[in-house]
Amino acid sequence: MIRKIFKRELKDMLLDWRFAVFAAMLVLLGSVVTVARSADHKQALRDYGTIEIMNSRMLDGGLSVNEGSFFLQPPRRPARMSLIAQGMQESLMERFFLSVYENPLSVLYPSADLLMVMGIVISLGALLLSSDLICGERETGTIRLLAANAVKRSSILLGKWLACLVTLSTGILLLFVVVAVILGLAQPDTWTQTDWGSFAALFLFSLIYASTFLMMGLFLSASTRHSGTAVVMALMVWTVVVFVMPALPVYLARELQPAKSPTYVMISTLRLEKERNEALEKLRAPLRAQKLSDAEMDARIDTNAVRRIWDEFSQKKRKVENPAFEKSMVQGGINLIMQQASPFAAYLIGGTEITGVGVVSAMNFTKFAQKQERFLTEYIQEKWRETLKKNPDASKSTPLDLSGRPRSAFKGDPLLFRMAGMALPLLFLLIFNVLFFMLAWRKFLRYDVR
Amino acid sequence: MIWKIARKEIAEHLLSFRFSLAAMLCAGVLLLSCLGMYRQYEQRNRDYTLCQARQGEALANIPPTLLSLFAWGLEDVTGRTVDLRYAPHVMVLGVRPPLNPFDTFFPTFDLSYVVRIIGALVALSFAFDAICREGSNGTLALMLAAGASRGGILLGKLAGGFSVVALLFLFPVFLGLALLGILFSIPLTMEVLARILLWSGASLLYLFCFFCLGLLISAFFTTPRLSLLVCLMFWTMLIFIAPSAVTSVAHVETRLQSPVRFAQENLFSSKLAASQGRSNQEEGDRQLQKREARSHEMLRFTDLTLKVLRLLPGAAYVDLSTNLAGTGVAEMASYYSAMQRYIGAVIAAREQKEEAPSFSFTRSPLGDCLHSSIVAIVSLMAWAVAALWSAGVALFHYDVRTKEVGQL
Repeated sequence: MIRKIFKRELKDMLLDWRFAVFAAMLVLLGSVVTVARSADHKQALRDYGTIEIMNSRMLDGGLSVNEGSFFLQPPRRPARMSLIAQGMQESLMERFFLSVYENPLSVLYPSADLLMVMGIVISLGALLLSSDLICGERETGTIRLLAANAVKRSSILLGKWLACLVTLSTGILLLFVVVAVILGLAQPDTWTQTDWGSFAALFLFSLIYASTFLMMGLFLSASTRHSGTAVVMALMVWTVVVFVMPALPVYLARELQPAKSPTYVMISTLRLEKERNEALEKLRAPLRAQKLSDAEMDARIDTNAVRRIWDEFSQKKRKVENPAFEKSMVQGGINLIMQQASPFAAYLIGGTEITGVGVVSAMNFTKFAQKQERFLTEYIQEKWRETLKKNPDASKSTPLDLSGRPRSAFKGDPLLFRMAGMALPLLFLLIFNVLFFMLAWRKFLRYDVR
Repeated sequence: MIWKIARKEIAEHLLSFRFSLAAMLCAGVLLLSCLGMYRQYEQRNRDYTLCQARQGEALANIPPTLLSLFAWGLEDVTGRTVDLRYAPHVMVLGVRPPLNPFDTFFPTFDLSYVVRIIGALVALSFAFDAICREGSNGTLALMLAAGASRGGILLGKLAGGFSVVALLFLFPVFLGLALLGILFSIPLTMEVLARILLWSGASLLYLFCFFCLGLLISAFFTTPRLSLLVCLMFWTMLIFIAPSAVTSVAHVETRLQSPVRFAQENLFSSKLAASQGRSNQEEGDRQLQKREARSHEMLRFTDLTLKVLRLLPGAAYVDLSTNLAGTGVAEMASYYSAMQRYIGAVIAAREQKEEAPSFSFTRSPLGDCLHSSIVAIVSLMAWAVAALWSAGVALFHYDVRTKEVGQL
């Protein structure tokens, strides 16, 4: 019987103008956003190319031990799938503080990406398609006929859900095909097998997301007697789930774990650095008065005093940085858990992870960058020791030959790694599916078909 | 007749299930927003106190404004810090990205966000079936037969429906502010009050635009369901997609370098300075010039993009509300100018071996804020008038017979 109901519902839905509007909206908006992001991505790639060349020339030209470690950190290539989802990549991987010259419009009008468009349109379409599945049949009287034919209520519910899901899948599949065609034509980047695998996984993840809202719509439909009421309720529920619930955990997390701001940490660290430099300068001043060279000053300075100053500085810096960092991490954890209460937020978080632009991926790259920096630092120290052996009077600002430095490139995250990042949001979406199905079923069992 | 129709509309809406749900949603969301944003403002204030410049330090830090409650806008970006200890190599520090990555993943939940997204949706949900439901029920034909003019029906529906939407928004906002005033004793000056009233007016104008758009769509389509879907499509397009597409296109067209590339180029240039025989002073001046050139380029890009963005209702509202709250692009531009002057003053002081002067910045007066919002106000008004006029034309051509026969 499920098959019969499924067939009938599927035919009805595919011929319904609501499906036509949903599919048109999804494809149109998705295409506009993908084209815009593709152009952005191309520019980001050009910028990255220049940065990489400069970084490499900088190291090839020779770096002294005195110079900052900035160039030892490899720049990150824009993630190939960042044209699908912008994610948290930019905020997490920023190598510089946002400068005052940064584009203020990007703050006021953040750019939309395909993931966000899908998150909004799929949830809306799913709720509007399913919100009158039960009460609409009651209004037309057909549900009485079904009940009179001894069709199980669970069969009706499952048949309707399945038909609705297949209908939505058709629209989503259409979008994915159009996006693939746009990417093929515009060729903003070359995708690897992992990226195409992620693309397929995103499609499946989107289906589970759509199913969550279908279940929610079925529950609302089984809870009301009129389709008009169900549609209004669906709209209100959607507004809360999509726009209100994801924004609130940030405030709640700040209340539960108040942390000092990054600006405060930055200023405090600068003040500590100033104190340290003044203390070191006091030590060097008498030697400087004797007009000694760098190497002579290094040899005659009180190393214990220098170490004490540095230890004190590190200790104070840790006191400022660590609590702020730890509390912010706890805030992040609270956010991550609480935001999953909204299927929309869960979808966005899971989607960013599967496309390799989420927190897990950023942390993976940070690990790689730190390792790379450590290798290069050790290499520079070794070169410095060699230089000192050859020339004991060498200054710390002498450029060292780094042409034989260890080189490695970030290979990106494997598919399984990305899938692991998506596990928690996926789990929450599955829980929502089961929960809303049970609620809808319970309501429908008691539904008065008269 | 208009008054009669308006009264009927008000009574119908107030007694509807839709109103009860919308009232709960608006009240809950706006009150939560008031409280959440006030706590954020307090935190930012504490942060400002902690980060104030000490003697001899060159910091360009400014206190947050209470009006950021209404539109957070560029508040985080405007109160930035400059450190010039390493002058003549001018060092400019911006806002550090938050340590908690989720801080910026979802937008700030300020009152303007609520009005811009949820308010527009509520306005559309009260207007999408205003005409077509009457048409499909057959009551539109009855009203016309009773002597009501089509223009009268449209204006009556507009007056009745919009007053309910206005009530849904203004009541919780002022209730929230009153509660904050009582609980936290917020000092409200005349200027702040005037700005709050103007912000309320701007919000009503924006909601009016979307209500008129809903009426227009309602007069174009025959069934409420189709009308609702089209309304939602326009809403998504106007609020999320169009502004984002405009900024993306402008960004690509102007070929602006990313800030990371710019900063890297500066570092590279510093590194090469010695080998190319440039002194520290020369290199410092060169970088300062480059920064100025980039900032001018950025301001030109911002100006051009804003001109297009202001033509869209969602973006025009953001511009208007942030300007009124003193957290908009105009305010940031004047902060930037003040900062540039300050950098010059600090460098001059350093050259004469004097202590860095303290940074002073006065937020723009209300008149200036209004002046920079004129285009946004005109744009919103034009949208409202165009939508209302088109709705009138559509209703004038609306065939009440066929749908009535079809429904029956």
